[in-house]
Amino acid sequence: VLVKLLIFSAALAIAPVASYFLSKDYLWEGNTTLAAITAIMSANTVLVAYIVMSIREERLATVKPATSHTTEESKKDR
Amino acid sequence: MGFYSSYFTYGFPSFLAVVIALYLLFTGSGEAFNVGRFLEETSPYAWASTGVGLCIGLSVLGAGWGIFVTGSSILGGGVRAPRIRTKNLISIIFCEVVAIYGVIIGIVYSAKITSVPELQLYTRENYFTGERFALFWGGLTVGACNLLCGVCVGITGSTAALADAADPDLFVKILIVEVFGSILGLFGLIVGLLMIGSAGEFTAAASAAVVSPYVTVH
Repeated sequence: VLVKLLIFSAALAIAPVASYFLSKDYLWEGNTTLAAITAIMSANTVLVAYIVMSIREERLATVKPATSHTTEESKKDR
Repeated sequence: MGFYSSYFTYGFPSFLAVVIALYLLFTGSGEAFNVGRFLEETSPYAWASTGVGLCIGLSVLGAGWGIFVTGSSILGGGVRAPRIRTKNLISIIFCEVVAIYGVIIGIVYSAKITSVPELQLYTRENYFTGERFALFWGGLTVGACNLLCGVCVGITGSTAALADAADPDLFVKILIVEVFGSILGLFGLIVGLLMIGSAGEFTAAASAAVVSPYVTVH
């Protein structure tokens, strides 16, 4: 929960800057514009991954209380 | 008090400006106010560094504004509806991505500022193809775009938190509005990269180059 947020915030800070410098030297041979575009795409990828993971976790959390509620109601019926 | 304070804030600086302008005019040194001389005398480093500073400063200002608006709404809404706490951190991450855009552009721009000896600094390329102008105005563009994008995403995020506390189905729909707001920061970033794409680094002239008579080289 909190650990996940910390890991994602650190990744959001480190991944674009690292990908900018690495791609500038090894992928694009010094062209700074393409390296900056790579960095932006990596930042957006981290963002989308966080959104997808949050929505998936939230769906799991809402399914569980629904199943527990049905078992309680069946006990009350008896 | 509130009615008269606008007299002070608008009246006093304009009065001061009028007094100084008339003093210069009437004592015959009206040519001391010279915009062209200011543009030619300032060092390209001043323009470039100011551009980089404005870029990261205004971006962080926008991101911080957005985060504090959204954060206070999430904390307030989380008192009555604790389930909104973890999902609404998406809005905070959207605001932080705006600050990351500013950092990336700051890094790209500051790589263009190289060290050149002062005698050869004032060349035609440095002035008019404008590393200094491109860096300054590019930094201002990216900073202002990220400032307003961060404020937009922050206010939308705070309303999303309160709407989610009332009705959980609304959150995904309001997230689409936040995505549109976040694209505004991306536009500023693209324009900033386009502006710097045509400008090279600071180049040294072959000999000591002085463009205008206003520049005194020591």
